[in-house]
Amino acid sequence: MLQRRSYPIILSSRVRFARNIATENFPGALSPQQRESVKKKILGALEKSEYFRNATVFEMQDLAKAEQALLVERHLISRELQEREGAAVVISPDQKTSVMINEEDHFRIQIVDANSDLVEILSRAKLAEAALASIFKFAFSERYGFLTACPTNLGTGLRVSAMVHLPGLVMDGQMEKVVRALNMCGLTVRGSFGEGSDATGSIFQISNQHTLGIPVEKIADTLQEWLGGIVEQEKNARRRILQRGKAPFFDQISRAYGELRYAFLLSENEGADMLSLIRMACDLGIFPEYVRSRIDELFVESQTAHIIFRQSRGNALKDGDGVDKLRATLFREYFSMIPPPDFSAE
Amino acid sequence: MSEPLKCDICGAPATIHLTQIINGNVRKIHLCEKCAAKHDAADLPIIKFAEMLTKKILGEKIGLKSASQQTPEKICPGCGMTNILFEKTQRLGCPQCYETFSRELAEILPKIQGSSQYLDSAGTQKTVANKRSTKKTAKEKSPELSVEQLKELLADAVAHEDYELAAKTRDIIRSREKKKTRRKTVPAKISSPELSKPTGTRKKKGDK
Repeated sequence: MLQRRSYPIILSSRVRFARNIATENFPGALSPQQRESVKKKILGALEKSEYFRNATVFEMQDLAKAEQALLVERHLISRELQEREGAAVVISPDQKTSVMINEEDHFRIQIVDANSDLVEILSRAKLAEAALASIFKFAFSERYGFLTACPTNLGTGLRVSAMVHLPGLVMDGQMEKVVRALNMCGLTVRGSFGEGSDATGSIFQISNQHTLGIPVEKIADTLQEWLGGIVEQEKNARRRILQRGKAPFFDQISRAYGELRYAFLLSENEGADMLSLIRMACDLGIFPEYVRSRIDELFVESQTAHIIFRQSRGNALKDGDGVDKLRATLFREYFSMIPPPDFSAE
Repeated sequence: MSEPLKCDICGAPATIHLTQIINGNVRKIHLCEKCAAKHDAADLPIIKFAEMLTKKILGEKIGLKSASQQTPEKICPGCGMTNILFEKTQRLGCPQCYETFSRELAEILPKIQGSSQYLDSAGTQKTVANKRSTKKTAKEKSPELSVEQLKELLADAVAHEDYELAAKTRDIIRSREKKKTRRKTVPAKISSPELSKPTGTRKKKGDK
């Protein structure tokens, strides 16, 4: 697992471009055989590309279900790609850039980073997009911009999003209000796995609603501006929670620590909720700063496909070694090395 | 006088009668209480329910054509996508679909995107400028479209039934023309003789 830097509240940022080849039908209107041949053509061309020289290609049909699920949990592919015949993903060595091939569109170019500077990430995404544009002629109309299978991605094909950790607003019962306000500003709030997913661990994905009629820079700027406001709101909510009474909050943190350190069975959701509390406590100085970056990794590693993959790599799952048990073991091992919460800082 | 109407689904005497009128075509659906309750008739708006019935239940039960069997009004020559399938899936099949279904898009784009016109990084609408492919304007790097170009865009928007864009364009033209009469002494950068004469005098009056 690559060590990533970690920041309070904003977990990661993502920039995604949707693009299609001008001369081909969109993937959804191709038969599996046609999709396969488009994929072969794309991968053949990418092999010669300098930009993608060190990237790894995974063709969906070559991957076991568990491996596909692992990529989904790492946000390197979507659930939709997993289900597609004739689909592939190209991943950069640092795992920050990925290009999904034959998802809903021929290309879904994505950059994810712990960095919250969306404008900087956008400039990197533009490089990846330009690298593809030098090889393929994209479907483009002067009236509509870049043409996509779904009109909700039309125009710039750009989706800019930030994964934010908002336990304060959730505990304070403010999340509904925040969601409504953001919707009115042209932003969408979803669970961490996008459309239809739950916000486990109080982690939300905030992204632009519109892709047409707004220049790309403006889309990134708008989200960046609002993120600043969301971070402020979250800090205020946390202040309010502490003002209302420290004991109930400290009790929650201590119980989360106790559970992660001693529990023998933990479900994915319960684990994520406990990690969420510890992450919040890190932001408040209750745990050392270095714990937070490990928590961010544990959010990923404690997901079901990761647990299964980790176990099966060494030795096959033994009877009775349920995923919840293995997850609890993973947490116990780590939290036995972490000092108990220190409330003197607060 | 006449026989009691029968339920379209099970044939029992019908007690619930739904009437749907689309483009002058009247479609009637008759249901017994049991079938109506089974399909939550009371909780659904009539049109939605009638649509659901015709598409799913009636299609299967009495041999009416289902959505995929209905005769489409439009078929994309590029990929074979039909207006019916587009409406159902909200997905297009190929780049050419955007021309084939421009009317449908003009209706949905303002709702889902709040706009119907692409803007590039410089914030320019490329439609007309590029259609005319005037090297001059590219050289000048003017981010604004001329009144003439705007008028073309307006005509284009009306032709595509993109009334939102049309209204916006019309407003820009109006404000430009107002400005032009205000700066009467400054030679207008882009003006065509037929535009400046009549509108100039009229707008001058309105300006005061």
